[in-house]
Amino acid sequence: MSIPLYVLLFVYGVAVIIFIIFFAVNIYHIVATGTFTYAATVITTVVIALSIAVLVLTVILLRDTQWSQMVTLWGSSSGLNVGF
Amino acid sequence: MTHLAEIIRKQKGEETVLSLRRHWVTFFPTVGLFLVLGFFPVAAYILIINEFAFMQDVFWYPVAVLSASMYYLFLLVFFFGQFIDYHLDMWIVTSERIVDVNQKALFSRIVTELHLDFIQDVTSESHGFFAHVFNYGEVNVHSSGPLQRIEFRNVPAPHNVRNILIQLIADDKRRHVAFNSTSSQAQFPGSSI
Repeated sequence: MSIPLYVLLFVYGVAVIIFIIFFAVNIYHIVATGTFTYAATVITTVVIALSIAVLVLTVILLRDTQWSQMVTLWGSSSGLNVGF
Repeated sequence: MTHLAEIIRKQKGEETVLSLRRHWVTFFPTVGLFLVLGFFPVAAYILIINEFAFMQDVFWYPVAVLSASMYYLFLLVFFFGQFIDYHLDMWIVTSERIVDVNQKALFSRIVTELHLDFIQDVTSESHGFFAHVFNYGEVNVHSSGPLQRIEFRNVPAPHNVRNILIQLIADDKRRHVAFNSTSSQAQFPGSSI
């Protein structure tokens, strides 16, 4: 069976969406309870900065990837054989 | 989600005396844990990069990068959740009540209220080297009502908190005695009771 490599991006996209949902829920907790403090602001800023850094680094590291390549998971077929 | 002001709902003349959270140093073990967990993908990379050629593979390389990226994103969001859990645990002491806001989980919160009238005794404790150095500990408030106890966990200056609570209880009793005396005199003028 062969799949295009960009299938991995769909899985990653779902993970990012789940991350955004949970992150938004956490922000909502702070906003809705009115518990703005210096510590909350600092931690929120740090988490946002680190999240953006992770996403940017991911893009940089995968910049040269040929996502349209076909990957063979099992069986003999054209494309890359990943050896399962 | 309820705003803090709605949780407390101060009555007329009621003032907030203390607003306490757990001491910031008690959050450090959580920070340390997440720093250690954050090192795992780096350690895995150091171990694997020199041993297996598949890290250069056109399939396994993006899998490894995307997996590490997802791992770090979920680590960050869980760390943020732990901070929210720490941040939303609060004890508010007013001139009339103690309000204990206990954030059990992201979608679970318990709010307990105890009027100063029902407090029987207050004890403060501080155990351990770090607790003494950074001056934090527990304050246990025992009640004569159905609610047995409220515990202030890892709050700064627990002995000061105990002193403030005792003073507030005494002030509250004095106010109630003065009010009852005024009420009985208004109801029964000239009475010596």
